[in-house]
Amino acid sequence: MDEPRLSRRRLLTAGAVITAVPVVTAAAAATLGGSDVPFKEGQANAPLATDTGSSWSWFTDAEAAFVSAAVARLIPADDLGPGALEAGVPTFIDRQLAGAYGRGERWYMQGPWSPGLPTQGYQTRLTPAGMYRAAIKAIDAAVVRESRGASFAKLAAADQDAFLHRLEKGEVALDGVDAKGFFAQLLQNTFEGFWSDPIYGGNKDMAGWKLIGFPGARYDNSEFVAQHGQKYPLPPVGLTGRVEWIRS
Amino acid sequence: MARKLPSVDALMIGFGWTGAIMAQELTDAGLNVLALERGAWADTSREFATTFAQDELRYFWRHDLFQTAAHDTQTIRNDASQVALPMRKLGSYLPGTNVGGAGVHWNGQTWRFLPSDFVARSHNLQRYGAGALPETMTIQDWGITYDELEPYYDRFEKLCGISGKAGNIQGRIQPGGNPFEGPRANEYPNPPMAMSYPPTLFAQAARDLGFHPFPQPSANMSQAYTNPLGVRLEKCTYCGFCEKFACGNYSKATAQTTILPVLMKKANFRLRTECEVTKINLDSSGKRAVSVTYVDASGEEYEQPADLIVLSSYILNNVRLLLLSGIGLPYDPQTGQGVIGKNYAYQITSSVNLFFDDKILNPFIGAGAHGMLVDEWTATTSTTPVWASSAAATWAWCRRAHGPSRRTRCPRARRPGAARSRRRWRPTTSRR
Repeated sequence: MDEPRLSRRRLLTAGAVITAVPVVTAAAAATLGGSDVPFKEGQANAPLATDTGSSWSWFTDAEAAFVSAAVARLIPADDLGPGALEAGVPTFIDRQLAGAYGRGERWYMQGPWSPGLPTQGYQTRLTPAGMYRAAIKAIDAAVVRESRGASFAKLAAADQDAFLHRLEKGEVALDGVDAKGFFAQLLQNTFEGFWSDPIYGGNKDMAGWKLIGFPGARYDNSEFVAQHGQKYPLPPVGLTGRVEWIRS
Repeated sequence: MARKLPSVDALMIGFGWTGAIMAQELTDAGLNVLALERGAWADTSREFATTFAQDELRYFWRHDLFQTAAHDTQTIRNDASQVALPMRKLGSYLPGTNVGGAGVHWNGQTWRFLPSDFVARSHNLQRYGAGALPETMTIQDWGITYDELEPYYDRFEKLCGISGKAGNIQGRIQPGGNPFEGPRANEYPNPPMAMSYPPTLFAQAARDLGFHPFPQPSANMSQAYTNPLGVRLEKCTYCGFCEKFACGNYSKATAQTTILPVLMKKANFRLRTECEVTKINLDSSGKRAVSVTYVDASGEEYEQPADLIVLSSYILNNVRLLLLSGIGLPYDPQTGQGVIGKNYAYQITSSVNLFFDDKILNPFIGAGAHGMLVDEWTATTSTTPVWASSAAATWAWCRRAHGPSRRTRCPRARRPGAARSRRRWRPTTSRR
């Protein structure tokens, strides 16, 4: 089933020609082939390089410092490869929170409001973006209140680990936010960023996929389904291709 | 005031699997059929293409193919003593939206009920004695039997090109199939899917223990298949993007890949999308449904008369529409009276994760309905009712996992959390 993909590629590259040489293609039909291919090999379909961003879309600098420090503890870099920080997870979370997900656009966020029971699910008024804002502020306040340091990001790694463990167990009282709920949200978003397609800003250079041996957005494993116990031979590929496809 | 439209012979409220099947049958019978779908048009080449269908964030986590709670939701309570609160985001069940409904993002697991499932009450009373059913258990017989439904199972399996291995053809037990299933008129229209490593290991272990493992009946194609309507489906490529995803490969039976290419061309069929039915209207006797009221995308209200009105959306929406329309006696859990809204049940599945340090499993290779199963505990004679014994509850199943952020699991000792090495995620880790 390569048909849709080829059609799309042809359509896109035809567009590139029109942009590049508007005078020639304004009216005439074209004959393509031989050396006259309508794209530059390795360039026309060059994938987007992961852009870790020079500025934040949603986070304040203090929020970015917290998230960068926290995800670096949840998935730390080690001898197996980059961790969540190096893979761009803070950028991923920042962009998610700046968009429809952060605003909770798919969620029902009108009344009636009541804390409800744990079995009745999410019942706070906070959108994901609002929860990060409130939680990080409350966490840094708790760090100061407990005389541990100036902010979570400034703690030593071992102290950050201990604090995260307490968050996970709900042992830290946070003003206006459920600590356990926020930890679960942060961990979930960290996983998403580490393993989602690189187009979303995380999983830089497919570091998450390489770590677990996942081949990415491939669409045909027919050849390998019955090769039991064999190492999968192909490198990962994202929705926009692989960085190796960019010719330098 | 609602604008009144010319009457049609038959009207579908919702255009997923049920609406498409009913419309196909009724147009074949010569009726003029109209379907009203709340969502938008969706087809494989434009909406689910293989160039972007494998986007885990968009489809699995951000629910791109599902109903949005912001548009329409339900309230939840666990028993009648609680105050019901809105379901603010989707959780365990994932109602689809748009043409094709939840059938677009289903896995394709295509079980038949066991014959005893149709007579759940009388079967269990007979098997375990008069006192076996707790008073609070509202279980009933269906009022229709397996034998009556068998020809329709057979027809649906052929429409979809179900891949599988029969275990009982006309009473003769077949090796390699499920020996506990009800008798089938025919073999499955397609052979079982190719098995990846984890289900193969499970099946071997089950066989060694004397059980009867069989391949998951699957609406994912084991080979290219042309159905009785002349619509062609393509061979599954085991990409693993099934549950919560649409198939870009025409390899999963959906309304789009089995019926719509034929139905949409019929002169006696019409589909109106982005039209939401708000009420079913009754005649003056209150006994007969004669029309529906619906709102289109621009907010215009219409009354659409029809001789036959089919509720073909998800069961919760069907029930709500009946309640809002004053049709039938609402179920009252205190008195047990009424049937509208009674006995809703959702699937409950528990799982165990297995980890192998010495095997390369490539758990991303697979499909939504792909795995090996053992059904001994559902069907074999036991002296204890299944609900009274935690050890004898259901079938066992081994399937490959999904993509990386969907089902990446790690042993408890290597659990995520601060100060853990990332070694918890190993390339060879197996799931379920």
